[in-house]
Amino acid sequence: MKFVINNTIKSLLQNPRRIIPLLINMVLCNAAVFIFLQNYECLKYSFDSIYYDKTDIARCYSVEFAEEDIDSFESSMAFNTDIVNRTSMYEVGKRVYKELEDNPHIFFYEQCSSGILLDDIEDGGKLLPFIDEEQPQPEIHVEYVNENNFKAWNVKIVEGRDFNSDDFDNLDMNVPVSVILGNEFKTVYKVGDTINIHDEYYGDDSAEIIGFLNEGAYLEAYNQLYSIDNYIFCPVIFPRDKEGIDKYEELDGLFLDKHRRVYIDDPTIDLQALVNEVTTKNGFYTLVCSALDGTEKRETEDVARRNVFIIGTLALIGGVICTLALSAILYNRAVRNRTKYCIFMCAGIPLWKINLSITLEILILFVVSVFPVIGLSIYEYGRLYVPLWQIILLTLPIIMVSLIPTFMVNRNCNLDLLIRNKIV
Amino acid sequence: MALLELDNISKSYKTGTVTTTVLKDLCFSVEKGELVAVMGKSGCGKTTLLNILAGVDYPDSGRYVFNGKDVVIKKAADGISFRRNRIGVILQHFALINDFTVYENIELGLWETNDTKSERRKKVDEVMDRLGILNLKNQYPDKLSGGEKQRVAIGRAIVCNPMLVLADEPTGSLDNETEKEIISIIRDLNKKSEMTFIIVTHDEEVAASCNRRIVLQKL
Repeated sequence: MKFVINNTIKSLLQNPRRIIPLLINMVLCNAAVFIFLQNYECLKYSFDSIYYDKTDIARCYSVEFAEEDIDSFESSMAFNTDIVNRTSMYEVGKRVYKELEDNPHIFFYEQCSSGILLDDIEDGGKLLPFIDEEQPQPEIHVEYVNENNFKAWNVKIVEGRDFNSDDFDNLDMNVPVSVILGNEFKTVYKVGDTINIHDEYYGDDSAEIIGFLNEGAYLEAYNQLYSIDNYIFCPVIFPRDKEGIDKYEELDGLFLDKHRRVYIDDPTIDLQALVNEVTTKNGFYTLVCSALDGTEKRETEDVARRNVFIIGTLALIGGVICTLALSAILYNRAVRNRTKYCIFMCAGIPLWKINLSITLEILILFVVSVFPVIGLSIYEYGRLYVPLWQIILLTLPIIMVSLIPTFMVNRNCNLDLLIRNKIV
Repeated sequence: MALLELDNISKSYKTGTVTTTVLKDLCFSVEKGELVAVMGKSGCGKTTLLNILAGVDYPDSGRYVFNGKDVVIKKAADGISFRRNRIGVILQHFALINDFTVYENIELGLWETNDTKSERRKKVDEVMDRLGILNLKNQYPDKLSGGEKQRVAIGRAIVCNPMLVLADEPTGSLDNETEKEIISIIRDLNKKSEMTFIIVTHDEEVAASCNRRIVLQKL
């Protein structure tokens, strides 16, 4: 190994000018690989963070009289009258609702949004940095949820606990209402804190924080995504009607009020067919099931796939260009050094040691060439977004392939070339 | 005792459909410590013979015995290991590495030995002293004259104390005066170290200074 080590060191140190083109090429090579990996990682991360564990098949639906259909619209008007007059059709509607609710795959959830002014929350100013809207009077989004909402939106409680039946039954104004907060509020509040909320219609109420949602939580409604990291989630009973509300009086909301939604835990179920079966059997009006989610993911996934394809194609082209450029530099270098290698062989040094020395030299240059990329990444982003081993794993084959022409040139080196003056 | 024996060596090359026979049934032997000149016109097979002797090429038929053992060369690596520490080579155009100093060029011949750094230094210094180039130790070849370069090349060839030194037109690129100096060095080495030299040359004067000459006829 004496020759290998000595020759490597000599090659690296003796002619810095000769290794500069090589080094520049390798830095560009690493940068190309790094940019590709970083873009891919960002793309993957943003996609996964939103759609992790979500299916592209719809699970959330609205079930209602379709307003586009004039007959259905008239049906809804007629049913409105039925509700007001508590006719037999009203009873049929309740039966339809009960049958659907009893289905083990169907879960009704709420779609009821509101907002609370920051001024109306005790110490609400602390929340200001987390509110997106730059309004004169910023407000916090509030979602009124039942026990199925988090399942429908595929969000998790990461700290504290989920709502329980006591939270939904809590109509006692002396007991604070339970609330769950979006993940961003974790830096301001903790589980067990009580905040006072003022509502202009229902007056003051106190709320106890019982949990926080996972980071990067989204809900999809009307095929749009909404980040809910800075939302407050209240049980449907809140704001509590001081005169008392019949929380079981849900039938109005079911079919006429569009705030009610259905979540199915098995996306292979044909909800429309199932609803049709129940309405036909009971002689109820036609109900239309419209998917609320899935489209966004399908579209985003399609774009993401195209982006990955574009990035992949560019990376491939970049990789080929890098390989060709590096091969050309190394090939020219090998041709220039043929005499030297022939002399080495003439002195009894085997070819494999010469090749090993060249490989070692290139690997050392490769290690050096990674540093500018690491430095730039840390300077720009404060950290290395792409693991080092991934850069190495992708760049090494480029370098190894680029060495093949060199090895082929070296293979033809022998003493005969020197004796016959073919390369001197 | 013969250092090498060639017994009925034949070698031909094929170019397309044409086969050119370069060496045919060549027989000769060289004793240890001999100084032999190989002469002949261009194309008579001098370089082919040199290649066979150095283990770069192999004959189509016949036996090549070196130091009592048959030489079998099947691939380039066999030739390199055969040459290592047994054969030194001196070429007309010196074949020195311009990036290496005189010392490093000579030291090259010792890289594949088990010598330590200090042993290598001692051997290289001795050879340089013997060749009168100790003062050029840290010079680079492109700063040297033809004669100095050839001395360095001789130094690299003999530093590992080989049994045989093959020299291909060692004075071909030198003027008369330098030629005499180089011949004198070779003769001196041959006499004092008992190294065997085979010199391929066109030069009558060089051949005349050798103990024996082998003249190849063009076929």
